[in-house]
Amino acid sequence: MSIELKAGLATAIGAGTMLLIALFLWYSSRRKSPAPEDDHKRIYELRVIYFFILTVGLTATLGATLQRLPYPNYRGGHVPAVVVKVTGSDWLWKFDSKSVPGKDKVTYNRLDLPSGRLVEFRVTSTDVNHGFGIYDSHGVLLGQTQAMPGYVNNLYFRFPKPGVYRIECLEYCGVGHQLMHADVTVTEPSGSVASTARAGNASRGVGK
Amino acid sequence: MSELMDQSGLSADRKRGVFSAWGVTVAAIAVVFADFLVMGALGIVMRMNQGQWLKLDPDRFYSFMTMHGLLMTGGLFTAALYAAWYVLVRRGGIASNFRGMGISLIAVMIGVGGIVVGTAVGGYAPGWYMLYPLPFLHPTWPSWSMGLVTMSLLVIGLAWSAVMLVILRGLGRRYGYANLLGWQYFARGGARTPVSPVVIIATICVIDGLVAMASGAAFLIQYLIEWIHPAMHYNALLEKNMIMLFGHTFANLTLYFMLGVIYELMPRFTGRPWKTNKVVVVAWNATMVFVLLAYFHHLYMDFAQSETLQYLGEIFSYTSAIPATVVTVFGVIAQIYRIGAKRWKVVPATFALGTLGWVIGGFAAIIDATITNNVVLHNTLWVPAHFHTYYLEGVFLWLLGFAFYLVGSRAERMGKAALALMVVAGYGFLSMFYLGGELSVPRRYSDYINMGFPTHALAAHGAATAEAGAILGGLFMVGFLLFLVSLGFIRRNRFVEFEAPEDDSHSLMGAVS
Repeated sequence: MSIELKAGLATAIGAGTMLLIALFLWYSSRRKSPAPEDDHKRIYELRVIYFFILTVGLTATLGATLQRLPYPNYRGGHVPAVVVKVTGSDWLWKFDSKSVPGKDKVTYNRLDLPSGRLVEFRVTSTDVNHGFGIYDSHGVLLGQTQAMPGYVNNLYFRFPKPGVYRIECLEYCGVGHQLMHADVTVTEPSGSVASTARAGNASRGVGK
Repeated sequence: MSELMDQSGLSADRKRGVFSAWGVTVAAIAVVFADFLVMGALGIVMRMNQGQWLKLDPDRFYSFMTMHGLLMTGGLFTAALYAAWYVLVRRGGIASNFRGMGISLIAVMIGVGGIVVGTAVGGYAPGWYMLYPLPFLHPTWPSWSMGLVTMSLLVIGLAWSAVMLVILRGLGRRYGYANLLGWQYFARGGARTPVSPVVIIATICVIDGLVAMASGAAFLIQYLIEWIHPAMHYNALLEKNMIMLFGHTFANLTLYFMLGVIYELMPRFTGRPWKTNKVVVVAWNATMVFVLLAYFHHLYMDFAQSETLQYLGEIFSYTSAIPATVVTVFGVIAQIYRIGAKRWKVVPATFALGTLGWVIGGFAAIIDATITNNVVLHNTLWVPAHFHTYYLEGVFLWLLGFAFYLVGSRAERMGKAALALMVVAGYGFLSMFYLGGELSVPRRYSDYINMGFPTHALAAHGAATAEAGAILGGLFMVGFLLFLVSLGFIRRNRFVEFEAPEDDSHSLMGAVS
């Protein structure tokens, strides 16, 4: 489902709900109850039903959602094919792919990775808090973690298909926040994993 | 004044007390409305900048953002606090304290002045949450602005804490501290002291409020220490926990203080009782605990945080929906269902619509408080979408209703027209945030023009939703101005309301007009 369709659908559902509520309010403001006590009784009966439905619904949703968490313990025992150390600094991203076999490169605001392989991003910051948000080429947010000074957040991520992905900063980090981004070029894996710096593109942000 | 004194029923002292409480509350609401006008205009300016209709420097944009965040939330909390205090004085729950409340209001205003100078003049711009260590590192603002804003916030927090202590002490003296949470409703046999819902809700707000203020004061004092001794450093994750415990609780208590007001005032307009019973007691006591533990959902994307706390964040965010909707929302529905045209006045309408805004904002919050969703919604426009919903179409509508009641306006038609405009334009304004969030547009971006390939679609979505948001936000403000005009048409016998009977077993009955 395209994101526009999803947004349109959500808007339609929202508008429909609002319409129903408006009808309820309109009805309530036009009709006077002949016996408010009876109405109350019915409303409180409904409340009991609502309570049970809500409790069961929320418990079921909790049960379902708490099993698919983005944290390292939930990766199902898969071993990452690539490890990239990510360091955010005002206002650029540094990628250190030393652990990639045969490569020993540090790049700024640029990163090359294979598609379909599990990547471990070890994300931290040298100064303030940043947010490491992975967007696809259509501008859809796919995953994120925080870059916090003094901590390393491990994000396991698999780029679904080749293309250019974008890292946008997702934690306000000062006046250059909106300029802090990086490109991730994802290609089909071919034997060895590519993770090379592109000369001349080392400082696309407002790095200092 | 004379017509007030001419009415019989209450002692002259009591009437004087209520009248002085009325005066200081009107002053507080007036200050907050003026604050809302200026900060609302700033909000529209920010949306215009994101839509490329204006060209603000990023440092200017972010200092506006900081001021807007601090003074909107702070203003609404102040108004909610004074509104809750007023209805408690009005019902005879606590004695009026004109001087104390007046001094607190002045202290808050001095703090606001400090924040305005620090952000507008000093350019202090770390966002309302001033996440550690941003205020200290790479600042584009001078050091004095950081110190000034931090001290101003401490002054405001002290004033709020004083008001909350005044409320707690007053209630404790009137009902006995042991009865304030309503636990006596579970006691077997014997006489029990009845308390109205507003007493229980206000007590819960004060208890959680003092916890929030302690957490807020702790990190602000730490900031001041580092400001004086730059060699001092703190743990960023711990600071974030303290900030979010403060911020999350504080925002929710703004809603809850106002809900106490709704429980108290709604029955006066609908003529239907809204009593304290065991369900109300359980629901609000549960809320008191849940709200303190739900804040962990602000740290889902901090993978270094303990996973147990992440679980707790989702569980308590979910469970907090149960007492809130089961008790309060059904209570409001029971209050307004088929009340008929005669009683469908501006005040109950704002209360009902405000409750709707609270529910919708809360529902959007639950969506975002689900960890699997938070991965793609955290720090997108979805977040301002949900809190603008419960603030703008929740707290603010409730406050408008309270103001209409407080001054005793008779401009029903004008009030309703303004309300309709604020609801339609307001939800349009909010839907642009929701749409932006759904489209992955990041929040706290001064503009989207520099995003470039491959996120040009994102930049276009960001700008387009901001432009529409600015127009609809402007329309909302027109509605607000119209509502302000409607507040000028005051009933002649507006103080007759002071004579209404008091009964602590449930909220008062009988319409005012």
